Amino acid sequence: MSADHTLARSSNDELPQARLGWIMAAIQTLIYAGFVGTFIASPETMTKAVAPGLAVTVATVFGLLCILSTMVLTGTYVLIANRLTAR
Amino acid sequence: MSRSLLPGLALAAAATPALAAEAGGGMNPVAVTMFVAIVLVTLGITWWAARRANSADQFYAAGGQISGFQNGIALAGDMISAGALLGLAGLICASGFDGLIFAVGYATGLPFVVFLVAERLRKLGRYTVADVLSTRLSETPIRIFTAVATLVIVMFYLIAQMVGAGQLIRLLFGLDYLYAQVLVGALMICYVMFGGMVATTWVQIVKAVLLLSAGIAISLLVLASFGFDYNALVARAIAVHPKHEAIMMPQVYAGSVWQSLSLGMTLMLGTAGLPHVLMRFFTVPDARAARVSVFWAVMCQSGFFALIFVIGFGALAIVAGDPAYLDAKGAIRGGGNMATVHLSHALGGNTLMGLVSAVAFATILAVVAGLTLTGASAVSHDLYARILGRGSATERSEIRVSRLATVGLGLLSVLLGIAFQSQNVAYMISLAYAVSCSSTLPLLILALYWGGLTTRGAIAGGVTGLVGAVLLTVLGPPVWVKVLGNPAPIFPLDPPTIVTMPLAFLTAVAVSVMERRRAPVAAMAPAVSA
Repeated sequence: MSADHTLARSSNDELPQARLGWIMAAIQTLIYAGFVGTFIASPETMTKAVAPGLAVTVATVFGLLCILSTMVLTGTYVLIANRLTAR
Repeated sequence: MSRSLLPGLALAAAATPALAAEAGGGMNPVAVTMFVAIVLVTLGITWWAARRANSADQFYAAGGQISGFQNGIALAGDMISAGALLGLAGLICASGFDGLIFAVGYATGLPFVVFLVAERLRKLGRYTVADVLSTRLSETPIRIFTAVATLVIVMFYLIAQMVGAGQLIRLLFGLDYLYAQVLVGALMICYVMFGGMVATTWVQIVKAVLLLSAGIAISLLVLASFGFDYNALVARAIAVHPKHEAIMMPQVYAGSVWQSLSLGMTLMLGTAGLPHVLMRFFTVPDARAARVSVFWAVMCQSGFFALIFVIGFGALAIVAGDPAYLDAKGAIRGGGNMATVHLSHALGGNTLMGLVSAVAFATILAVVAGLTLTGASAVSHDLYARILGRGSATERSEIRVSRLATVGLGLLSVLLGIAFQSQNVAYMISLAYAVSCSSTLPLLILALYWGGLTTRGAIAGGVTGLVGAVLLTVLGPPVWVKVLGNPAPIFPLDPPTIVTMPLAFLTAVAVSVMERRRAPVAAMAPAVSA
């Protein structure tokens, strides 16, 4: 369709943080895939107590760390991206 | 326990009208006072906003004048629906870890929006997602498709919220289902029609602050009653549930590998294609503010989902173990959605219960207002002003149409809310997420990151994803078995994302590549900076 026109898509010029965004997305996916994947591959690992005698399971801690990772990764991204675009 | 998809946000049906007020005897004065206060404050905001919402820019995007921090709080408000406060704790009471699977999944969705979508969206768009897509694709077909996909997602989400709202308000305040529908419908039309995005954003901010405060208060009280020993809390929860240790294994992951993967994918990626979430990025002044707003949104919503680890086990340990909150069959009085409300009663008496009930009401109002505004924008901006009016419609007439569309969508959602009163609507949220993953998200990612996408490719991919997601949901467990009552589903996965999302991407890429190969000259238009 001739109506299609290409934007100035050299994304790295206009958004220096573009590559950073993909790296962060990949890390986030890995962490979450780790959570889902361990449940699929080895449910007994996830339902084990974190330490003998405790009720809190590995999955409970993993889940909380997964949620914490969203805050850490987003915070890191925003800090670096703000610095990159401040110039 | 049904293994239905995404029950977390669905506020699944609570059949027995057990008044929360029963627990304290008579009407709860705190709940009624707070309820009236919330209605008055939000109408005051609307009155204030109405004097400013006279241009299209104000109506759709609050004039781009919402700060990153304010927009972040509002965005967190969009992400945490009443289903997250009430539904997830109910799910944990019923089947344990399942509720936490949804909490973790929903929490991981928003970071993707900041990493990949938010800034580009703000850079390229004005009011709607279609604005962004039509910067480099042929406008008419792409707008029609995006408007249709937006309306499909918004309507399913809205019906599920309306049905949940009616049942919840009946339980919390003893108001008849029909009146509850009319009340919620009238308030949401009022906010959006008169106050546009300015009022919708501030209603969302008020609600988010109330919701976070209530969540923190309940969590602290739960922990305090276990001497701030989280392990003791979890141990008590395990002891109370009849299945004991088995509740730490999520039932949603007990099925096939494909089923678990498909659900995991939908929870994480669905958020990035939800039109009412994406529309939030047009309210801030620039790409930097868009980025900052997602930062605050992630802090608030992830913080809240982490609190579910305390509130959910707390509800199970305290409410499900107390006969005062159970019916004759040992189930939670009023249904699973009442677990958090009963918990607040157990912890803080009628005062806290009244506060939490009112917060749940505010949450419903804010979420339906955001959805209605998004649907109305698709009708007035994409379909009316840009397609029917070919861009020559005056701003006045466009705003008039958006107000008419608001009333129309509001009335329609009230009627559908009444029609679906006694239906199982849990599948509708599942469907909204599946359609989001399979149509809006693939188009957005390809349009933002792949120069090769053609209009035909985009439409082919989007339509394949949309139709596929709807069709496979109907043939799958949520509709074929749970609504239509057939013994076995024709398509086994619920949601169907793991099939329909790659299908949408592949179709879009294949059609684009073939088209460019056939007509390389036309397709290789020189790079024009838009």
